[in-house]
Amino acid sequence: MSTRRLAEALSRLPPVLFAAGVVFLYLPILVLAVYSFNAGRTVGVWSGFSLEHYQTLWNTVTGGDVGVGTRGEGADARSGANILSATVNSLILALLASALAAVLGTLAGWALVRGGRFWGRPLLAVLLIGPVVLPEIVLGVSVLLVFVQVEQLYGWPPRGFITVLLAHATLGMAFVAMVVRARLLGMDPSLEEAARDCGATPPEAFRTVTLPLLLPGIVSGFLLAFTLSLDDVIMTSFVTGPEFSTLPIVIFSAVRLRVTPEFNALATIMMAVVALGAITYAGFVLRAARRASAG
Amino acid sequence: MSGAATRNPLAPIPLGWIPLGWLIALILLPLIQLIGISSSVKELGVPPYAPIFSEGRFQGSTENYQLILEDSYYSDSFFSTFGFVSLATGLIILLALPMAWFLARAPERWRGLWLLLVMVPFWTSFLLRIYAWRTILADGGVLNGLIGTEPPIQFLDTPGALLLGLVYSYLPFMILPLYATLERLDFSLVEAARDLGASRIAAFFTVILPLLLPGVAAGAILVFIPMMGEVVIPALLASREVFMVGLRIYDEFFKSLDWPLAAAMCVILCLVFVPPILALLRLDPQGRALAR
Repeated sequence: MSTRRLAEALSRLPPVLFAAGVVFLYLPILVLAVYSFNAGRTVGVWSGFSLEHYQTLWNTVTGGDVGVGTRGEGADARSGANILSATVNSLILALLASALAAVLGTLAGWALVRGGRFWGRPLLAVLLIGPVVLPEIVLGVSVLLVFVQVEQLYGWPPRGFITVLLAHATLGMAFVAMVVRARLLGMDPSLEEAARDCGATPPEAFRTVTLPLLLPGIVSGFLLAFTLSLDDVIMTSFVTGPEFSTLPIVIFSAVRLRVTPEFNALATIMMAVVALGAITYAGFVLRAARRASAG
Repeated sequence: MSGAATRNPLAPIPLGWIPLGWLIALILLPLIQLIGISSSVKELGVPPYAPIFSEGRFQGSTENYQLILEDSYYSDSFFSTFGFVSLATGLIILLALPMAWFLARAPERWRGLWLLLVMVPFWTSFLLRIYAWRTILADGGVLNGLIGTEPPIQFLDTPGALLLGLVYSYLPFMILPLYATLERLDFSLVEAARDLGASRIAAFFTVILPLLLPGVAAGAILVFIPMMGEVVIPALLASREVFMVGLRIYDEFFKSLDWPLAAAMCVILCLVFVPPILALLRLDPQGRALAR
């Protein structure tokens, strides 16, 4: 085959492989969604369309009658309360942790770009990379060891909500700092100087010029931290205590033991919610971008 | 950057000290503690390890490290993890490259849509998507349900399942840096090469590939290290027959309650991926692709 023909054949690959890659990425999601409507307890064999697993899930969560088809495994009132309280825990935790991460990450990103020289600046930059590149298991073991040691010495913090919050905020701030840093580097400092020339004090200039420009970056960093916190398993399982459980932890322990069809229903609902949220958010971003470039 | 102190409401304390103090307490100190505890031994009690300083003397030893290096139960898991992760990284690069190429060369109006398409699965729960593969590959799962042989074909707990899980989870992490690099690539350089007589293939290898390498290196780092410490994927897809270090550490910590040994394994894990990082950083010396 001549190299020209080969080159032409190769140039047809990217769209094909892109389509194949997209199918690959969506395959488990779609299969899970389809089979969550499967009747019967065996996950793999299609026995007809049914909403029974959604019904069981609903009954489990609301503490209602669990019905004839299930044998109560993982579907009793206590585990239903577990799922609900774990979900609430996860949401509150993610909200607070990402808020904390947004504040700390913005401070860090700003300090590294606009903060001038200060003692520990290189150290800050290096430590910020930690949560991004170190495997979570390494961080999990390390942070827990410190929490345990501190608790031995000072009787605080008790392992539970507080420790998980601290850990998640630490993970999240690294990503927020990355985003804020990138945005600041792309921002024109003369805009702030112009505000100062017009008579604004430095805090005013920051508030009226820098912060609004930075805000989209902070928001996307916040959302990234939120997603990470909501989905986190390993770090959480290390630093949590017996009283505090998050949804990923409940799912992780449950699915290691058995494959339950009710979890297929739960998973489908969760993924649908997130997918809709992501698409809506992206729709806003795209429309704003298009309006900005047109105007 | 003049006047930095005057715009700081906390002056003369640099604002940067707030996140710095936080990170010293929650990243630096823990890592130091990790190394310290790795020299201790398992003991009954709270906490389940012997104190490393008692009677004013350092009581630690290297016995955990010796155990890991000598006992193949542990050392093998490092080798096999390294092998799996390297293979998975290679496969990811092979798949991500054409996908990123397509994205970068797509017309502006469609690019947002294609990017969204790729990113939406990333925003849904990672745990749930791996769980989804488990329901597909299990003995009573979807794939066996479609094939219908008796006894069912074992898909779970195989090297293939592990590779599938790794490639599946980390593919988006490679697409993004590659896309960023390709998007900024000046394709007129390729035209210049063609004008000078190079064939399309030669132009690709001499012009595009070298410019791609920083992006590939950045993506590989972003992907290689977390994969080395993966726990969830081996726990759900390949926990009995295949040996991943991350799961070993997790079990050592929670099942055997041998915290010092787990700590030592973490330290060795960090050491294991330092050479690949250094090698990859040489391909992207200014960390340009990483900064994105």
